[in-house]
Parts: sequence; structure tokens; C-alpha cells
Amino acid sequence: MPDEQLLSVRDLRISYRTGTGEADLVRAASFDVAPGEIVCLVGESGSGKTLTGRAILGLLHHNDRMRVSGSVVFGGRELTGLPDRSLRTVRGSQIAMIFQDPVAALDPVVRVGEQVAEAMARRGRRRGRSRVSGEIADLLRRVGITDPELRMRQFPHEISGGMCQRIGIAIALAGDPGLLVADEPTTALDVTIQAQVLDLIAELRRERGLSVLLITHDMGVAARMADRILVMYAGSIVEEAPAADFFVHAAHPYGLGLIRAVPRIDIDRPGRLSAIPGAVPEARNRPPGCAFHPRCPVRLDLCAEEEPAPLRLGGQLVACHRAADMLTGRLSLWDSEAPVG
Amino acid sequence: MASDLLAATGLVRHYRLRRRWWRAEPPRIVRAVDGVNVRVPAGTTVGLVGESGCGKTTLGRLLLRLEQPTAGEITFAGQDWLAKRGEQLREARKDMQAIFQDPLGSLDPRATVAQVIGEALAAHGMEPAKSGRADKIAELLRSVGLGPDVARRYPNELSGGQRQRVTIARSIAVQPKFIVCDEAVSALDVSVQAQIINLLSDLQDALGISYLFISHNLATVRHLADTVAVMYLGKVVERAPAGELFAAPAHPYTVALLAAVPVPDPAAPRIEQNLSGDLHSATDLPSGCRFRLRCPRAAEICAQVEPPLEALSDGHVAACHFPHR
Amino acid sequence: MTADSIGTRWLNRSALRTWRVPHGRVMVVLAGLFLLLVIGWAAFPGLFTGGNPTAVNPLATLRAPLQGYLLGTDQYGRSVYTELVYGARPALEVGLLSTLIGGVIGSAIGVVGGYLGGWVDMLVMRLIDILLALPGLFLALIFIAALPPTLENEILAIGISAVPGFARVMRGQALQVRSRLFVAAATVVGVRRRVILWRHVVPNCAAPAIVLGTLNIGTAIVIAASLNFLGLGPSAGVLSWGGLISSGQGYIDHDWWISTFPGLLVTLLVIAVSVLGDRLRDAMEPSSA
Repeated sequence: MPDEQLLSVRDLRISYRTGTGEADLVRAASFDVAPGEIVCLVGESGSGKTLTGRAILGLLHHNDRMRVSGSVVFGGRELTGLPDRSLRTVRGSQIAMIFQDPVAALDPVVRVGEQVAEAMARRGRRRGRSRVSGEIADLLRRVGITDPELRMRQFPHEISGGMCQRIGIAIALAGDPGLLVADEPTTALDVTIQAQVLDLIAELRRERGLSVLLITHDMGVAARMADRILVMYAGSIVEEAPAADFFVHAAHPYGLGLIRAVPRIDIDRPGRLSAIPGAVPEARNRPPGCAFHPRCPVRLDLCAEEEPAPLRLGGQLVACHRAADMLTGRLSLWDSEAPVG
Repeated sequence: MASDLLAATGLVRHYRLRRRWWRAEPPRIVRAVDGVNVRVPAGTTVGLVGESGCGKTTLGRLLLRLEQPTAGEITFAGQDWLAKRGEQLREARKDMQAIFQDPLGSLDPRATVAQVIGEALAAHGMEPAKSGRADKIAELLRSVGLGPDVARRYPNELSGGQRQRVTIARSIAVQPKFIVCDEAVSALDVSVQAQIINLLSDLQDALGISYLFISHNLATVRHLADTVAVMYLGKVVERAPAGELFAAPAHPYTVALLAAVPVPDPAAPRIEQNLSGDLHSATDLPSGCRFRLRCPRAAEICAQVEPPLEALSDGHVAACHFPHR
Repeated sequence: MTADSIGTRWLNRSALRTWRVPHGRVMVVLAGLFLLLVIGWAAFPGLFTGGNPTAVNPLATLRAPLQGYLLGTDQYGRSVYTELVYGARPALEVGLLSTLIGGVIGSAIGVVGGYLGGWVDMLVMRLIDILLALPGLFLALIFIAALPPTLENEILAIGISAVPGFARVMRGQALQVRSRLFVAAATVVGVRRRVILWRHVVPNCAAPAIVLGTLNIGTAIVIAASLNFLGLGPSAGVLSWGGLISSGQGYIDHDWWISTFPGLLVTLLVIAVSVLGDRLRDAMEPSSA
């Protein structure tokens, strides 16, 4: 199985040194991304989803207070422990990343075209000036930028946020990567622009077989894009499921709670939303046992004592003591809302 | 119109950009809000949706008197709201409150929760005697789902959801008739967002408060609003009862906006109605209809005549030459 | 990926981590100890020296350091060390009081102007701009020349010369605080402008004012020393480090210690104060944590 995967992450652990000890920000995360697959990593703030994405690109290594362990295998090659220089080659040409704030991700004092050219040069595509500018224009056209010749000469602040994100994607594609890590790529954009950017990503996957790890908090975006869903809570992956299964019968109470907590635009749901009580715990104050148990409506005494191991149920992998009951529909959530603290 | 708590007519807010002295050009004007009418009947929620730069936040600030409109009238609680000044305005503010997007930013980092709420009470002489003060604050905190121990804490010791509950407690402390909620849940985590939405609707049921719910999130607006207005580049392009707007949108912009919202259900039918292009800038608007450059239905007349808001059915208006029916 | 960024990374990893951080801490401790010493001099000079700073001794003039006197003697046979110890009090008085005067007046002008805005703010700030065009020393010179030469007037002159700097910085700070959301929130809830100013704007401007004030103490001491060196300032009876530098000026060729030690002292004091001020800034800015 692992040799079919483009990316395999095993036991990824990210901890942070605090004044009093170490706090785990990501705990033993394991998952795969297959070639041409879109995997969505969903979770709320503080779940560790952004750190996971950055760790894959080896972007956390320089931080003194952060410790990363585990294994990240990309295309059969172990990336953890690689020296900086090799990692940079991987980042330029095999794994690329786009960010939440598309304007801040670009250098404000360098023309857009030059930033794309720089990314191409990094991949060793140095050629005559006119050839390069023709290639840049092609690339920009491919990410849906009209008037590429004009845009190339502009600075990031002169173009809109949506267009900056397209430039970010162009820069990511310049090295012809196999995997795109997209960290909340549309969160800062308006819905109509978000739809355009999501369509572009889907199209790139279709045309070039690009794999995408899409990190998002928006269940709508996940439903629209994902082949497979990974749900993260307080640093752990609590559920992994094919998207089609997840949105019909999520097996982890947190996953189900997330789906049910969002107001829906497509159906009238009068009355109260089924909110999850409480708030995401901080890494320092992670509850014992299952981290979700204080907020969980179907918790058992066991949940406070023992951390549930991931359990495979059909296509789903769930870390919950009640997963089996959840899947057989013997449990219903949030009929009466628990008090909020 | 006697039942309207708030009625704004012809609201305009233009910003004059500073002219570069070396350029011989007329001063450029940003038409942030460009002739908007809003009516909020007592006890209801009006949703105001639109993308960034459409003027929805500016409109909220005009109603809150944080900014002065360039033109227009506002009647609030039966009185000329724009005529109020100085001390008179300060006292009248108690009837119209606000909840902002960033709960941390809207709380003074150097004031405890008790000070924040106490200050609101004191501003309107609603502060009980010393002994009753802590009880009053505890009661307000309880009504937004917080324990009395929160009173002693500073904003940075609270979670995002708790902070927003505190700002809500401050708002309802002065017993307002109307609250402008400007992206009040947008910065919150999904699971917490639902808690706050529920809290807002509970408070409306209990206290009869009216809301203007400003948001870019259409799903949230659908859940809360009785009436929805859609803004595009400083103008309202469509307004309808919520059920009707979401079921049968008439303006092509509304149609595209609704289609663009991703639904948390992979099996949901997808309407391919993506808009091309970006939001036009509010400084140099196109002739005729503001939306025509992105509109799939645009025709020649759209470049010449700006469509007025016209009634399609009872309570449903849209500004389009070729509305969807 | 350029050579430059690799260079900085190398610095970041080795130099900064292993060297600069403890180094910084050592500096702060040293600065604190030094400042405590000078404060001790000012408070209890008798504990640090048995001598009398004004006692002239014609038999022991121009002694080199360590020849019976720690830092030598001046042309009148007075111990330089004793003079330095007794000069600490007036120096600190000038530094603290003038900073207090300049800080309070300047901050008040700046904060009120920045918060209220409008034409008053415009007018005051243009005036401040004109004053800012002159260096602080020059400004103090103008004032002190117009006033009778007493210590109080010196403090007043140096204090006034600090007003424009405080006003400018604090106005910027107030403008920034005014635009923050919690001020809008308080306005909407109906809090009076005066209350917003005192309860929200002033406390949120306080941290930079305190940092600025700390740094200004050093500046004020230097200005005082410079004025005294020029023969301005309190005429008789007040010992001053600047006056000491000035009086040793004619002997600098052979009897260097008379001017050098007070000069060194002023320099060290200014460095110590600014090290502590920087540390204070770091501690008070929550964002840099």
C-alpha cells in the first residue's frame, strides 16, 4: 500500500517547549495522499492542521522551540532529517504550498512577473529573457489570469486578492510539483472569488494529476473539493473517511458535530443550531483520555480515562470509544443541548 | 410605516481620495454607500449580505453614528436620528448597540469584564448601588451563558467565544432596542459560531431586540434573518423575505452569490454559475448597471440605464433589467 | 536562497541563540547594578565616600588616580571620586524631574490632541513641529539663557525642551488607540468622551510613555552636563558632572582624569538607562512575547 502513495506521513509529532515543559501541538498524526487525490484536513483553530501542513514542507525545522518527529515520505523518499539544501529542492519542485493570505505571501516590492520568474529559475529553467517572459505569460494564463503581459509588470498591491492567490498558485506550479499543500487558500477571499479559485485547483488536479492537501475549517469547501477527509481535533486526527461517507455518516461525534453546527444555505433549518458546547482546549490544557470528551454528548466514563485508538470501520478510521454505536445509528447527538461553559 | 424601528432613506457615504497635486485630474470619489434604503421592523432581523468592499460595514457605521453620512435620512425609534448631537446623542445611543467581528479588539485589553460591563451601565445611570453591582453583572453574564467568575478576568484570559459573549453582555446591559451585528460570528470557530448564533436568537426571543445582521456568510444570514438585502458596490441590488430570496433569487448577482457558497454535502446539486472577474472598484464605476461587467445576462441597455429597484412581488425588489423569475 | 539569507540564517542559529540572549541578560543585570550604585550615591553619599566634595586641599592638587585618591584629585586638590559621588544627586534630580515635567506636559498635549483631533490638534502640532526642528540641547539653551541660573530653572528648561518629543510620539500613540475597535465599542455604548479618554486611551498609551520617559532620563542628564560644561545652569554651590568635565578641560593633556572620569560616568549612565529602557519596552509590548 505505502508504495502507491505519493505522500505518507507516519507518527508526526510536533511539540513546543514552554516554560514548564512540553506541549504537544500535533500528536502522532498518520495519513497518506495518493497521486491525483484531494485530501482535506479539516479542523478548528488550534487543531494543529496548519502545523501539519508546514511540517510536511519542512518549514518548522528552524524553530528552536518547536520539535518535530515522525516520518514524512514523499515519492518514496524520507524527508525528515534531510539537510536544508535538499529540502529546498523538494520544496521548489515537488511539493509546493499556497497560503491563507495571498497578498502577504508575495513580496510587496517585487513585480509579480519577476516573482514567478524566480520560482521558475529555482527549478533550473534559466533561459533567454523573452522565452522566460513568454513562459510566465503562459503559466499565468493557465491559472486564469487575463492580460498576463500587463499583470506581470504590476506589484502585488495593485492587483486584487483573488488574483494574488492565482499568482500564488502560478508560483507553486512553476516547479511542476506533484503535491500542493493549500493552507486555507480561500478563507481570505470573497465567495464568488473563492468559487473561482476552488475550480482552478480542481481543474489542475484533473489536468495534471496534481495531488492536493487542502487545509480548511470550512466544511462546505471540504465537501466540494475532497476525495477524502481528515478531521483534526486538539492535535490528533480523530477521523479519516472518504468524503462521500463522512458527510452522510460521520462516525466521530466531533466530525458529526462540525457538520451539524454549520448553518446551511441550501435548506431551511429553523430554530436552533446544534452547537458543540465549550471551546477547543489549548495544547497545554489538553484533557486526559479522549481530548473531546468534555464537549462530547455521548461520552462514557471510559472516555476521560483512556485515549481511544483509531479503529477501522468500513472505509472509515475513527478514534472514538463509541464509533461503532455512532455508525450503526444507535446514538443521536445533541437532542438536548448541554450547558455551555 | 409606524411599525418600523429604523428607517434609513437615501443614505450616501462618499469618501474623497486625496488628489495628487501633480496630476491634473478631478478628485476621485469612493462611493462606499451610494443611495441605500433600509427598513428594520421592530422585533425582526434584517440580513445584509455582500462581498468585501460592497459598503455593508460602512452602512453599519453610518447607522451607529460612528460616521457621518454624506446625504440621507435616518429615523430611529420615531425620531430624527441624525439630528441628535453631543450629550443628546450619547444618551440616545443606549437604544442602538453594536457587536463587531473582532471580539478581542472590541474589548480594552486593560479592563476586566466587570469594568467593561460596569462602564456601560454607568454611562446611562443604570448602575445599581455598590452591593447590587456584582449581582447585576453576574446576571448579565448568566444571560449570555457565562459564569460569574468571568467578571474578574481580562479579555486575553478568555476564549474567542467567551469574548464575544462578553461584548454581547455589554450590548444588552443597556437594554437596547436594536443591535447592529457586523460580522459578529465570522471570526469564531465553527463549533463556537453556532453557540453565538443560538444566543443571538434566544436574546431576540427574550428581549424583543431587532438586529441588522451584516455578514458575508449567506448561510448564517439565512438562518437568522427575516428579510435579506444584498449589496453590490454601494447599492442594494435585491431585497426580499429570507425564504423567498434563497428559494427564488431574482438578481443575477444574488443567483451567482448563492451558487458560489459551498454546501457541506458532496451530493448537493451544483449550479455552475461562477462569476468571472473581480469586484469592480468603487472609485470608477461602470456606466449603467454596476454589475454588468460581471453579469452573464448583461445586454446593451445595462450599459446605458441604471436599473432602479423594482417590485417583483410583495416585499421582493430587485434592481435588474433582466431578473430571474 | 541567496548567499545573504543563508548568512542571516547562520547568524540566527548559532550567534543569536547561544550568544546574544544570555549576553542581553548580562547587560541588563550590569546596567541595573550600575544604576543602583549611582542611586546609592545620590541617596547616601556619605556611605560611599568619607571626603568632602568642596574641601580644597592645596597640598594634594592634580594627583593621579590611585595615588592616595581612587580617581585622583583636581587642580584644587578635591577628590574626583568624591565629587562624582556628590554630583549624582543633582544629576539624577535633573534627569528625573525634567523628564517628569516634559513627559507629563508633552504626553498631555499629545494624547489630548491626538484623541480630540480637529483644528486645535492641527495648530498645536504645527507648533510642536517647529520646536522639533531644533535639537533638544539648543532648545534648553534658549530657555536657560532667559532664566536666572538656578537648579530649578535648569530642570524647567530641560523639561520644556523634552515636551515636543513626548507630544509627537504620544499623539501618534493616541491616534492609533483612538482608531481601535474598543474605543468605537465604548462610543456606541454611550460612554462619555472624557471617560473614554481617561479609562481607555490614557492607559493604553501609558506603556510607550514610560519607556520613552526612561530613555529620556539619560538624554536629560547629557543635556544637563552639556549645559554645565558650557558654563550655563546653576551658578554656585551645586556640583555637576558637566562642570567637572569643563573645569578639567584645561588639564586634559597631562591630568586627564579630571575630565575623563565624569565623562565616562555620564556615558555609562546613559547606556545603562537605555539598556533598561529597551528591556522595559520588550516587557511592556505584549505582541513581542
